[in-house]
Amino acid sequence: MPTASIITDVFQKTGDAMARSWGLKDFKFLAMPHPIANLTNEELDQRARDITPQVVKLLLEGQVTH
Amino acid sequence: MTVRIYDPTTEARGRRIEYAPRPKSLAGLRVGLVDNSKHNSDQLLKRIAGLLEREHGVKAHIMRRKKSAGIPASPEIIAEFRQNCDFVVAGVGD
Amino acid sequence: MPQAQLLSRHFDVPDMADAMELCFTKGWTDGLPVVPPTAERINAMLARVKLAPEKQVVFIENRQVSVTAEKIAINAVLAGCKPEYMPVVVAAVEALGDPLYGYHGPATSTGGAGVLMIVNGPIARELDMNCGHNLFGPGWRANATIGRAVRLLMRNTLGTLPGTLDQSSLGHPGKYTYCIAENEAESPWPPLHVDRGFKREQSAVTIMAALGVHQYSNGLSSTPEGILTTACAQMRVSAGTARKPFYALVFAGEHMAVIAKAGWTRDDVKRYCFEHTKISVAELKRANLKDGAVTAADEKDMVDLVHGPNDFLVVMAGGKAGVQSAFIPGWGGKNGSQAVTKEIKV
Repeated sequence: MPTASIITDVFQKTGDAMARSWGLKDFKFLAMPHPIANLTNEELDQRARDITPQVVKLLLEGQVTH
Repeated sequence: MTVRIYDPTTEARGRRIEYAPRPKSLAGLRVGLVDNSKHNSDQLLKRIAGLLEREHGVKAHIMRRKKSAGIPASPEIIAEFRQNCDFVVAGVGD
Repeated sequence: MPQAQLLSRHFDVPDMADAMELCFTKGWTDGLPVVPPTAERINAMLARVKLAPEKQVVFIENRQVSVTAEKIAINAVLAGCKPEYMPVVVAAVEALGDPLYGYHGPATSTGGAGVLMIVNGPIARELDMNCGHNLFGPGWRANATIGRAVRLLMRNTLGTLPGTLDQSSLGHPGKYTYCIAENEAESPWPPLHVDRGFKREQSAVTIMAALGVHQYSNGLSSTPEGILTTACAQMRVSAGTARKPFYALVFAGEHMAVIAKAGWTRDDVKRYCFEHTKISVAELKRANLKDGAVTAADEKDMVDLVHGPNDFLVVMAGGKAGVQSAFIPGWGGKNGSQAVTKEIKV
């Protein structure tokens, strides 16, 4: 089923490398600024607001662009 | 004299996978959220679920936490999502 | 013995000096020079374990890599191993691929684990592995190169490279090599691998995803309780964010003598450490190791360091003189990675 995977930006290269090892070199992730562990409630609210439109877009458009 | 040395690295194989068809909209659909157990992952995913429900018509959500960040979602989580969800959001890889 | 057909890509250079340089420029080293992997040397490794080059030794699920005997042999040559070390390297690589070890977490995490390797059984003596002075330090070819071969395989064959699939923030020197033998001759206990279900006459290697060596000193105590109290005081706050990993406890020098003289078994040591490394939720919160405001109930709410006494891997090893021993925290938590022991097939 459709999925959207979220990472923090410092792990972009790791995500890409994992995708390559699985043979999917163009796999798209959604990246948000690192870190998240020490964010306040207000900051978490903002992060969620920022990323949700990208989540929706990736879910509707999918991995393969035509 | 030449010296021939052998490569210790591996080449990844490319593969084709069939991606699941995408819905036209998220309205009325149910989302499964995979919490990778890192601190604040659940907090973020909860907020994203809330926004998806309030602003994008998503009907319901379930969130399940992995036992450890570095391992895949368990077969039980996958089976549950297959049964009860229409799409999945996984996070946060930090 | 006929030379086997090797399947890896190869490169031709004018001489050995160029070959050493090429290994550097291709990124195949850990930063130190390596031994150029020629067909003759690779085949000597394969012959020692009687494996065909294409034989899959282990499949690393999370990297989708089939690790063949040939790749292990190439990395063992690079590391400077002798062919007789190859069985140990093969067993360690089998352990890396065990789902219980959970390769991905310890290899990739910012937490930066090395692979602690403890070798047991007759092979440790045959290969002249160090279990004494300077235990974690340089000087013994087997210790140095066997551990190094495993890390080179992780880097080269499994792509575990800094910035991509190895996101260690700090790492530690154990990532060059982290391989010891247990002092079976002078330990009053059965060897570690026997404790973990193997027979004394077998040889085995135990791997644990491990952070750095925490040395502690105690020159005052003449009882096991005294020494372990010092160890536990430092261990109590040492677990990382996921908590409850495995721990390795290495007793050296005069501590070995004190524990042996008091007749303590390995289980006695494990139980004592399990009981005395509990920490209150209050203390964890005050040290910012746990979220939330401290409540009165938190002062009495105790958290174990490890899931159970058997998550301590306890060995006697290290120099005879000295009042130092060590504990080594594992990486992550038990759900993420466990210590794994594999037989070394000779």
